Amino acid sequence: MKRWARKLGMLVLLLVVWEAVARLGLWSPHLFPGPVKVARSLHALAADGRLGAAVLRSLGRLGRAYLISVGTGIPLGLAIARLSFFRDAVKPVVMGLQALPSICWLPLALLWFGLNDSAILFVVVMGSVLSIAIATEDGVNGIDPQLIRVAHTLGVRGPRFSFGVLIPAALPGIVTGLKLGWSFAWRALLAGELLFVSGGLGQLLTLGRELMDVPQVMAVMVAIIAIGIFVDRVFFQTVERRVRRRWGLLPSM
Amino acid sequence: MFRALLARWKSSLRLFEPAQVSSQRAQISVSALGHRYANKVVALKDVNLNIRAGEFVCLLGPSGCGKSTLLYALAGHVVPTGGTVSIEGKPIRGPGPDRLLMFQEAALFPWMTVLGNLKFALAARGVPRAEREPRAREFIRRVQLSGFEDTLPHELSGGMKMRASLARALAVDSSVLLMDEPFGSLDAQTRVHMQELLQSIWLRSSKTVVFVTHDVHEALMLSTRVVVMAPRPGRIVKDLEVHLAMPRSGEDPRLSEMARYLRRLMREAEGGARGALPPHRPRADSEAGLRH
Ligand SMILES: Nc1ncnc2c1ncn2[C@@H]1O[C@H](COP(=O)(O)OP(=O)(O)OP(=O)(O)O)[C@@H](O)[C@H]1O
Ligand SMILES: [Mg+2]
Repeated sequence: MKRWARKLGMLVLLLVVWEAVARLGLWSPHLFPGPVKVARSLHALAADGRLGAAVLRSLGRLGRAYLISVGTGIPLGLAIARLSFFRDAVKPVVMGLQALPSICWLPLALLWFGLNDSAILFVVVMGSVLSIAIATEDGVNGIDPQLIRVAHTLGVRGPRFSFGVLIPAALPGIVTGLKLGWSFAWRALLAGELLFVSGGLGQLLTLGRELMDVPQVMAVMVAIIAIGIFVDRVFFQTVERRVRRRWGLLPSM
Repeated sequence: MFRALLARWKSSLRLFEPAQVSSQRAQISVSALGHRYANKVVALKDVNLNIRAGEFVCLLGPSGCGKSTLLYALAGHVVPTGGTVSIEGKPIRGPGPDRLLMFQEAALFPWMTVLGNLKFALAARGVPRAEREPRAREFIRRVQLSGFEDTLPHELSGGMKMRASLARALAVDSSVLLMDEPFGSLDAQTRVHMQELLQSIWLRSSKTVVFVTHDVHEALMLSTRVVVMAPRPGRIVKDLEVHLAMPRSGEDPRLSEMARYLRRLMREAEGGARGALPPHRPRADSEAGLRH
């Protein structure tokens, strides 16, 4: 309760300072609108459905790309952790590509796929799949060797071993990787949408700039922050906490 | 001479008889087994042991004498650096469905409930789906964990975890059961219950059990054969059959005399190793210190 009060107090303080600075008139009100103006713009965007459409478009893309990332990243991480070929040959490649900021894939993606959704999906996938794979590998390498031995003495083999022991035992690490992968994907998506116009939140931002509509730019930024915080804090942190509690990794009450 | 014989006859130590099992009649056969860990510790040296089907063998010895290592070699979790280990005439090359190892720690899967752990083990051993749950519940009841079926391992006490682990090992029902100090962390009363449970299951089945323990009394209560080991290097110093009917009573005066004898053997085993290697001791200690 007290922590909530503090957070809320900080937020209110921030808004008040922002409004005060805006009213001081140091900069032109066109370039530095206060929170009230931004909120009004946000409301307008939401009311005429532009914001909703853009959010849906962006999240739809993100969802598809993220599913692809998870679907390839986790198996790739498992393979790197368990198969010597992948460890020796594929891991260095993954580590090398990981050093490349995902937006650097955009020129190549545009040449390969043309100016369409696939190009952005590609950039988002490349931005998140590697970190998911690396986190999965870390998770598997961190499994208590005793659990693997028990699985062997019980005769757990094949898919039952992968899905019944390996993945659950590595799950706390995998969930952390999924969270990391999501934030990378979110960043890559917006960078991609900003650079080439295609609907979505990125385009809404670009549009605001082209119309010199600073309140709109700020309103979209606020929306992006809100979505980011919501998914990260509300969704991933809850899942992470649940998993860690069930696995007995949290001090119990 | 006659008097010595008479004393021996009167003494309950006559119930101990040196075990002589030829490798032809053995179910599990260990010959010239040696193991050296990567850090150059010789955990086992020239160990020979033949175990018949249906025996209850206790491995007894001071800490660090290689009991766990020998058990892991039988389980196929440790590939020994020398000698052979075979079961039913076939060399052991890893864990197999004929054997089940119960570790010194409970080693339950932390994300599964107690019931889930048992059902998972039964599924892995190919028990039909419909039989898994009743069998799992039955063994949970036998280790006195009824009511904790849906509890997660980290919500159990150490002794309860160990009992859940025992239930899992017994439910799986493999023909050879390899147990590494399974009752070490239990309180005295639960311990007796678990010993009785294990014994009754062993008496009814034709399982072979190899059971590691520090506890001389436990060994005498349960085993048909006691193998005493000594450390540095890990080896067998005595291999005795126990000719005493089951079930045994803990208050039996003959047991206390036999226990005294085994304790003396264990002390000698420990002391002997110390006496034999005086110049090595400080070095070994400093090495151990570096490792930590
Ligand atoms: N994984 C390992 N790596 C290196 N040395 C080991 C390893 N495991 C055991 N050892 C060494 O091998 C020797 C025998 O160990 P082992 O665990 O078999 O003893 P133990 O008889 O089971 O002892 P305890 O009764 O304390 O469990 C010890 O000196 C120990 O230091
Ligand atoms: Mg041990």
